[in-house]
Amino acid sequence: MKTLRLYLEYWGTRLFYITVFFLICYGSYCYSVPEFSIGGHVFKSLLYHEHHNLATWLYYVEYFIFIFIILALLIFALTIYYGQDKRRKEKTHNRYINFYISYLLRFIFSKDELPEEEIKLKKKKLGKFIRNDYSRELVINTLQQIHHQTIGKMRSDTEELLHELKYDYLIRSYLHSPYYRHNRIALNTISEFKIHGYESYILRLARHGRNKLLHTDALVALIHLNPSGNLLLMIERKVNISMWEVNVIINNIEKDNIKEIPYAGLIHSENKGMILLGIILSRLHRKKELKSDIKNFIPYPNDNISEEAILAFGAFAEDESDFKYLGNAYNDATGRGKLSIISTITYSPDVEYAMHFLEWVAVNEPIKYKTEALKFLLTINMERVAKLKESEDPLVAMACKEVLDINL
Amino acid sequence: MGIAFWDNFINALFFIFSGTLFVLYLITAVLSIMEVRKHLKKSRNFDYRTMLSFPKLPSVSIIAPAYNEEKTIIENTKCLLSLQYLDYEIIIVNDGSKDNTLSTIIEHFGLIKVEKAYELKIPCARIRGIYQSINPAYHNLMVVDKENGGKADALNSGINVSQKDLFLAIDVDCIIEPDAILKMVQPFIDDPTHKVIASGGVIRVANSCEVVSGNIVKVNYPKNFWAKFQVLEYFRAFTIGRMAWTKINGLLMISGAFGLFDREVAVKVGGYDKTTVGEDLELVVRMRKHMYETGVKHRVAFIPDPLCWTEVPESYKVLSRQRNRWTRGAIDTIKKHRNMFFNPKYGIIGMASFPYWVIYEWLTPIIELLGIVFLIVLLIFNLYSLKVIALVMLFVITFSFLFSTTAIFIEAYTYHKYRGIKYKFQAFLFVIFEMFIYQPSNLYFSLWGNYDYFFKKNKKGWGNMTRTGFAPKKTN
Repeated sequence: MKTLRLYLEYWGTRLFYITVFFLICYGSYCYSVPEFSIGGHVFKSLLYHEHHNLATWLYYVEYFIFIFIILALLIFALTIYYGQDKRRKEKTHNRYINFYISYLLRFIFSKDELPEEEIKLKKKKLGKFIRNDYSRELVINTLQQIHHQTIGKMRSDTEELLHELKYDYLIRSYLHSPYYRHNRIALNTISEFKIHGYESYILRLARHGRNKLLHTDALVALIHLNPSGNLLLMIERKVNISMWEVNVIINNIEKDNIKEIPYAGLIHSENKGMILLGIILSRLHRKKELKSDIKNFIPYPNDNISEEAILAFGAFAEDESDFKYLGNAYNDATGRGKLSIISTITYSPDVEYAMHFLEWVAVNEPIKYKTEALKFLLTINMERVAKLKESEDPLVAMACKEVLDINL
Repeated sequence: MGIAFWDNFINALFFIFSGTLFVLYLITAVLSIMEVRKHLKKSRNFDYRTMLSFPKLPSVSIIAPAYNEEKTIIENTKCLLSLQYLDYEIIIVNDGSKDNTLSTIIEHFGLIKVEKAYELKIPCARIRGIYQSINPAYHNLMVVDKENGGKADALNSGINVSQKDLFLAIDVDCIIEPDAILKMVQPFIDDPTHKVIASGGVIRVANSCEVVSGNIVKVNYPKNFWAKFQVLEYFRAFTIGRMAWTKINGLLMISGAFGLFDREVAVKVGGYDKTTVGEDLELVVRMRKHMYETGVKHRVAFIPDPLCWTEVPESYKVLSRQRNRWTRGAIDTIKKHRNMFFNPKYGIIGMASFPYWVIYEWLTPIIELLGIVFLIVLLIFNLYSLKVIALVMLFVITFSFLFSTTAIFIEAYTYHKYRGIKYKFQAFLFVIFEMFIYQPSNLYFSLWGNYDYFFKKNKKGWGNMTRTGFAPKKTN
């Protein structure tokens, strides 16, 4: 019922604007003719003025002058109204927020010390305050914040309170609401409180949602609800994830310390975003056993994947052969990839190879890489940098001077 | 062919011109409202600070050319140092100032001359030295001291010294919002299908605003008569005009006072053109042209958030010089890239944006002048009734009135930076004045710019911009 009301509101406002637009257009026609007919009935135009004696197109011009003036005045009135309304809303919002935060915090903090009767009374009182959706949204947001920032008993009390306030119906209708703002509230609540039962609809949002932020929220909710299962489901259903979403998912996984991740499944999926996620997570969680799989992604047509593969492989590199492999991959790497290789090779057990490589970069590569290579070369062997300072190539000499100037 | 034929012919021409302009304005308004709504939906629900945890956030160099800015350079540099971004550097380019700009900044931030390696990828005037601070708090501040070569040359030397992925070209006297770079960078990481080569943001008028430590603390509607008009003009140009072009990926103009560019592409096309005064427009046109020629799907983004505040001319004389220069810059760019005009090879730019600039930005003042002359002739020879002419004029005036009011409304509805009923009434009043005072003045400045360009061959003169400085915050 609530969802239906939201849909009626959503389409009602749109229908209203379309009707006004057509009425304006029709009005222009009515103004330019002495009479018009609707369904066989002839009506006399009240707007038509014969005394004007104008060409027909000038009637339109005259009509639109009138409409423009009316619209401009209306818009001006709306500008003043919105200005005032915005101020009022800001004040009310702040007042409400402060009230709910303090009330809810006090309630949750003192819950254990209060007798059963008083708890009931307080809950009833809270129910009285919350009369409309706006208040409910604020309470949900406040509970979410408390839940997010607390641990242990307090966290579980917040969860309990959310269910006791019977917000499930609101979350369900908000999830299906045509308003994007509502969808986000619902998704964030589901995600934060791990409310199960909506997975299939959220997965649909993640697969077909046209709104980017909603798509991201849906992915985060899925990860929170069941990381391992939903990641596999996302691979299976070929859910696309962008570079930004990879970052958001990783932040959430790290924050919640989630470890049940199908690393190999991610790396071997067909989806570029998933591969990227798999490589980054393998590096962060030190999954060394995946080193050889990751190595295959160094020469990869996607820049982001190739860069991350270099970074991960570099983090796992141990043998001389690993470092030499990275050195050979240098020429085909992207800018960021090149910088990662320069820093990684510095730690090669074959110091001579590392110095030779860094010297080669310092002599042959553009200035950005020259200075980077020299910085690392300086940490291994200062003499070599000093020697390069005397180079005939002014750029090499200049880069050496810069590195020496900054670091010494 | 008699007078009647010519009368009808010219009539038809003017009607086609005005009709298409009217329709274009309507389309522009609708497109911009759609784009602003889309952006607001997104930005109101997005915490830009979360971007700071994004490891692939591109690095940014802020390049600010400074010429004789000793009075404001410290405050403005402080404002740049307080921006929210991780990997960014500030490059102040002292373009051979004749005052104490260099010594003031060296002294205040404790700078020392350093050895800095750079490649001269774009030709520019001789760089005399590069300065950096030994104070870790200012580790990302760099000052490039060079011989005078003009704004474009100073920007080019900044690009040469910079080694970051993107560069933000700004006027050193602008006040930038703390989260400006984050918002400007977002399109660069957000679009998987197009390479974003540049992005711009809304510039607002800072005259009469209260500024503390390089930050706007109170937004006031300007007290100056000419500045009041420019507030409305900036609303229209940024909120409506540029947003609409962004919607169809046809944006050609990123303001020289505040624009973020892909450094690699800018270097590839040869940087800023030193031979024109419209270097900002020219660079974007050249970059887009290059992308079309190399067949790369690309986009120029625009953020409708007010991110930069600048001081606008407060006197008729300075305003006339600025507008004259803008006109000359536009003509020069149009002339240089005339092969793009209705050229399908350049996609939406060749078929829509560039022709729009030619017809409605460059030629409009000329056509307007001819229209006025034509109307006078019609009246003198009694070829049209005064009533008809009055009606058509009234139609144009009321439409313009509606257009400007809509721009004020969009500002109030979206960002609501200017507050108070008094401002709203004043702005509304100035919308009416504008049609009779400011718009005819602008027409005159543009015509003068055309005259200067074609007859006086003055293509490079900048003219002086007198700045009054920002109002300090009142203290009790």
